[in-house]
Amino acid sequence: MLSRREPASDEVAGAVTRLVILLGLFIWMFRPELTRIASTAAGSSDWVHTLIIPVMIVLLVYLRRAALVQKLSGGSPWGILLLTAGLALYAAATWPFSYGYIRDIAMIPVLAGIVLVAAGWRALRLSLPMLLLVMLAIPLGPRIYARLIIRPETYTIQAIAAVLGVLPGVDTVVKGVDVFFESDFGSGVVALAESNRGVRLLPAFAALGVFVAFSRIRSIRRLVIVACTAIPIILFCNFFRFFCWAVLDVYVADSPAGPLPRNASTILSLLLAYLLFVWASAAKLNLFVDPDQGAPRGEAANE
Amino acid sequence: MSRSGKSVSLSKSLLSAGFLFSAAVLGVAAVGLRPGAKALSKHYAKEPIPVRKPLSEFDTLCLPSFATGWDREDIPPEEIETDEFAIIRLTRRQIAEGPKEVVLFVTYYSDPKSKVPHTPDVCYRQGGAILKEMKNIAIDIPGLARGREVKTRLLLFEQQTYNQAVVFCFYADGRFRHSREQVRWIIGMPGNRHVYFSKIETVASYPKDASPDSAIELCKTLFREALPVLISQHFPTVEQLRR
Repeated sequence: MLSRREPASDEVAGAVTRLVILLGLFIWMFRPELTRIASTAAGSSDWVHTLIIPVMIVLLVYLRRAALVQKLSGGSPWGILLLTAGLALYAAATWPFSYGYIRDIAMIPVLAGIVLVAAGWRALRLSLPMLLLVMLAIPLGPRIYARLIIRPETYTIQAIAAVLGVLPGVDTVVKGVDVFFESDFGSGVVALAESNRGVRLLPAFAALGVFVAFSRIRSIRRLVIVACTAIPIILFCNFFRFFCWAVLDVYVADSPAGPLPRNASTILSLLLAYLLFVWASAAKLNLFVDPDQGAPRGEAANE
Repeated sequence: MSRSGKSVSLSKSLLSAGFLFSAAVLGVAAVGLRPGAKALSKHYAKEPIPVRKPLSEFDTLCLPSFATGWDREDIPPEEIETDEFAIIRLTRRQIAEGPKEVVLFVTYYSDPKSKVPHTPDVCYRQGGAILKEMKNIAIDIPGLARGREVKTRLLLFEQQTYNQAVVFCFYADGRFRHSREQVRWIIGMPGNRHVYFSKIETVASYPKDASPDSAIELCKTLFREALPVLISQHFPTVEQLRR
C-alpha cells in the first residue's frame, strides 16, 4: 500500500502531464513577452543572466525532484483564481494602462496558478524559488531602472572614488556618474562607456543568491539568514566589481574601453557572490544549532 | 496497476474540472486577450489637446516677485521631445542677497504615445552633477482656484563650481504628481477624451559653501507664482479634456 508521502506513479504522471499542457498554453499566451525578454537579455549585460535562468530553474527542479514528487497532489482549483488574477493584471496593463513591466510580471501569478492547478499547494510552495527566479529574469524598463538605482549608484561611485583615492599615487574626482582618475600610469574614467556603471548586475547577483540558497532544502531559519545577508552581499559584490574594474583601469588596462577590465571584474564579482552566498547558506554559526544537520538530506524541513 | 488502469487514471486526472477550466481560460486568453485589449485600447484611444496659449508666450510680468527688477532670457532647448515648452532664465538686475538667477523650465506633452520624460534626478547626474539630497516638499500655492498645497520634489545637486536647487512636479490631466509612474497611471485612466501632461521645474544655483535655503526659497517662490499662471492661461481646462 502506498503512503501519502509517496504518490502513485500515475498520480505523478497525471500532475506532470497537466503541468506540461498548461505550460504549453502559457508559452502560447505569453510568447510576445517571452520573445521580447529574450531579445532584451541578449542585448544587455544588465539582464544577460536572464538567458541562464531557465537552466537554473531546470537544475533546481532536478535538485528538488525527490521532494517535488513527494509533494505532488491532484492539484487545487484555487489555482484558477491565481491564473485569472494574472491574466486580469495582464489585460489591465495593456488597456486602459500601458505598462510593459506589469504585463511581464503578470506571468508570475499565472505560473503560480498553473503549478497550483496541476500539482497542488505543497508543490507550489516548493516551486516558489523558481518563481522568484522568473521574477529576477524579467528586465525592468530602462527609465524605471535609472530612477530606482539613483541612491545605490551615487553611494557606490562615491565609495569607489574614496577607496581609489587611498591607493598610492592615485587621485580621483567624481563628476556626475563618472569617476575620473589620475595616476603615475595615466589618467581616465573608470568603466568608460558603460551605462548604470555603479549598479550593474544587481539582478544577476540576486539570481545567483536565490539559486544557491534554494539548491538544497533548507530550514526557515537558514533562509532568513540568507535573506538578511542578501542585500549586503549584493551591494558589496556590486562595489567589488566596480572596484576591480577601477583597479584594472588604473594599473593594468591600456585601452580605457577594452574588454579585459569589464570581463575580469564581472567574473571575479560573480565568483565572490557565489562564495558569499554559499557561506551564508551553509556556514555553521554558533548562534544556534544548525537545523540542516538534524534534517535528513532531501527532506523538507520548514521551507 | 495495469497499463490500461494507468491510462484510465491519467485520463481521469486530465478530465478534472479545475484542469479543464484552467486550460480553457489560458487557451481563450492566448487567442483573444491581447487582440481584445488592443482593440479596446484603439477604440478608447485618447486624443491630443493643444495648450490654450503657447508656453513660449508665458508672461513673466504676471509673476509678482519677478515682474520688475529681473531680466528675462529664453533658453534654447536640448532633447526635450516636444515642441511646446518654455525655458526662461530670470536674472536680477541689481546685486542682492541670494541667487542672482532662477530658471523656469516647463514642457508640455499631449501625444498619448509620448513617454513621460526623465526627471532631473536622472538627467542632471548624466550631465555631471552629484545628487546630494532628494525629498518631497509641499508648496503652498494660494493662487490656485482651490488654494492648496502641491507636493513637489526637491533635489540638491553639486556641480563642479557651484551647487543647484531644483524643484519640480508633473501636472497631468489637471492633477499634480511628483513621479513618472504616477503620471503614467493618470494618463492611462479611462474617462477623458483628451490627454496631456507637463513637467514644471524651477532651478536656482548657489555657491558651493553656501546654505541652499535661499535658492530653495527662490525656486519655491517662482513655482508658487508660475503655476497659477500656467493653469489659468496655458494648460487645457478639465472641461476641455472631457469634450
